[in-house]
Amino acid sequence: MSTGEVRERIELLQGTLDLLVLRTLLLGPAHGHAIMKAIERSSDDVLKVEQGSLYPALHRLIKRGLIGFDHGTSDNNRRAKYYRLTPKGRKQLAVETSKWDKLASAIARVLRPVT
Amino acid sequence: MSGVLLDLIRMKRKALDDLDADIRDHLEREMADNIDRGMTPDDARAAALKRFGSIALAKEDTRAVWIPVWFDQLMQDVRYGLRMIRRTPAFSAVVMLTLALGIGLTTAVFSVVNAVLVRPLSYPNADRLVWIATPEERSNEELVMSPDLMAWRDQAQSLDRLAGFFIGGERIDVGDEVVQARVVAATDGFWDLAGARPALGTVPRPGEQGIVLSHAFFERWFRGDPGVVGRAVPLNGRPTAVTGVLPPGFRVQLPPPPAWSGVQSGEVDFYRASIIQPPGPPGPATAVQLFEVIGRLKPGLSLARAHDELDAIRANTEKAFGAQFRPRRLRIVLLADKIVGGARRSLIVLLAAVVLVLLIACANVANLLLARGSTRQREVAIRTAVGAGRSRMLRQFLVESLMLAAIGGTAGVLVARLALRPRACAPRSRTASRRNDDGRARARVRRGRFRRDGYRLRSGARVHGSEDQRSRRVEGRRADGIGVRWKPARAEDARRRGARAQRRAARRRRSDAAQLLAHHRESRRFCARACVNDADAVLGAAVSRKHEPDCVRR
Repeated sequence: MSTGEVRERIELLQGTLDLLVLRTLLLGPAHGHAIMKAIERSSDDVLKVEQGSLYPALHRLIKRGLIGFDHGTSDNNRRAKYYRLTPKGRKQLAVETSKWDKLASAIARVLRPVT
Repeated sequence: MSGVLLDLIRMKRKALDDLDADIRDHLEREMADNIDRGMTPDDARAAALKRFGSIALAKEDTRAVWIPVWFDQLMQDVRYGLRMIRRTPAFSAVVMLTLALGIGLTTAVFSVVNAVLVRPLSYPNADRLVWIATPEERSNEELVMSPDLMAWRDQAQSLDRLAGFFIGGERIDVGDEVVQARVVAATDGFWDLAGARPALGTVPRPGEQGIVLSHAFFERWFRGDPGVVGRAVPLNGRPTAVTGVLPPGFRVQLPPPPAWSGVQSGEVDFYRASIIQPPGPPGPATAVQLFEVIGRLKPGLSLARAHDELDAIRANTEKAFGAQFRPRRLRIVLLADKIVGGARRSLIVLLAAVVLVLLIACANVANLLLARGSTRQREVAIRTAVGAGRSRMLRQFLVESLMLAAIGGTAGVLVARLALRPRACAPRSRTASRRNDDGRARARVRRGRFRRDGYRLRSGARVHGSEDQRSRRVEGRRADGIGVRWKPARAEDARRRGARAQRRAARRRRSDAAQLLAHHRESRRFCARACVNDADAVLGAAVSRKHEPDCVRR
């Protein structure tokens, strides 16, 4: 964590947290803290996410039926809510990912035009 | 749609259920991670909280996913408003009571105004319905004699329908008992004018006798048996066919029956066809029928034109009957005006008064609320200090006031209903067994009334005793409505007029008293009953001797 304070962090774009949560859950069910940690680790701690904003995002996804949840016990024998991807969420992830790719490449083309 | 909503609510409850536990779990894991990295527990806790951000905000945002923020806040305000009402019961009671009375009175009076002045009569083409009468000079008897009615019916071009009717009490045998019922005897045009479309059967065919029952009477006395249609039922001792039953909602709106007829206004039990008998040849004692008359103007015709035409026709009839007719004048008004009569102005005044009362009530409540608002400045200051915005505060106070108003308004509607509740009435229809007790007594009481009012009638026509007498004495010639005998005008009548006017005034005073007495008829009947035992003999003798039994006055 201490390195995180030094490195410059980027605020997450509006709405992208949902996409990242879906992508993380593709690897398997996880509880809230694990999702957050996975996102931070896989972005090399560049993305600055206020952990509290994870929960509204999770509930938004539940409401849209993209993820579900079960009650389970974690490794250290604690009860926790495990979030998992639904089939609908899987489909949505594919759609959102391709959308994101298009957006990213388009922005990249604009910023660095091939001369 | 509602299924989806229910699913959503169930999902929401499940998802939000352990949000607190979830967040706590999250923080503990973060703490554990931090301790693993070598922090002291205190530092680890602080760092975890810092990474997480505002817990309250996270919770609020999460709830907001499921519940719209405004709804959440509204519920908070409602709960707080209820607590405020409970905490200041006296204040709340005063506010609610003030509103309840103000709103209740206004609602009650407006209901009446709406029914009487705003809504048209429940007849087809009600705006063209007129009331026609030929009162004598200085008299208020708004009746029409059959010769006039027949002449108008046959000749008048300005009316497309004309009907005579008379409201009276008649005895009908419903199978196992005889019932005294309120009856409208009406000529052919009436059914069409009143828009009477029977639910069962038909209306009587022109020129034929027949009874059309109101639905309530049909249900009560014929137990809703549809077999009664087409059956002949003894009406005043003469079998008359029931031709139809009216639908439940059918009501006629007619002016109250004239006071001297002894019939009080109220729901009509059944209707029967009344056939206009041609008057006898002009002579010293021509029998005519008297009717109350309504008609329908042809579209686009003015009252004045109809008046002129009818008056001309009437003048011809008068000529044919010569001296028998006293000078009469024709009166034609809209039926709605006739029914509402002088009530319009007083109703409007009443409405204005209660609206004023409502305004005063509102001003009082506003004052009370303002006074309380000023004692709540501390609360406002605290709320503002913890972050409530101006609009949020406004909403809170608005919700509180709205709750008070809603409760007061609901109570007001209850007050209005109470105020408009029909007063309990004694049953009008009497069974045969009870009539043995008081039926005759009443017959006599009524004769007394007829006699008293007979003077009034005699200026044009003389009432021929009571119904009982008439049916015995002038059987076969019994006219519809009221049987009258025409008395030719005599010169001495003119001399008597002055004295008569004086007597009339006295009688009017007495008839006011009689109306009061009518309210105490039960007790009066009780008195009369005392002399019922020997009444049979007295009555019979009296009828044959053509004078009134003294019994009534005893």
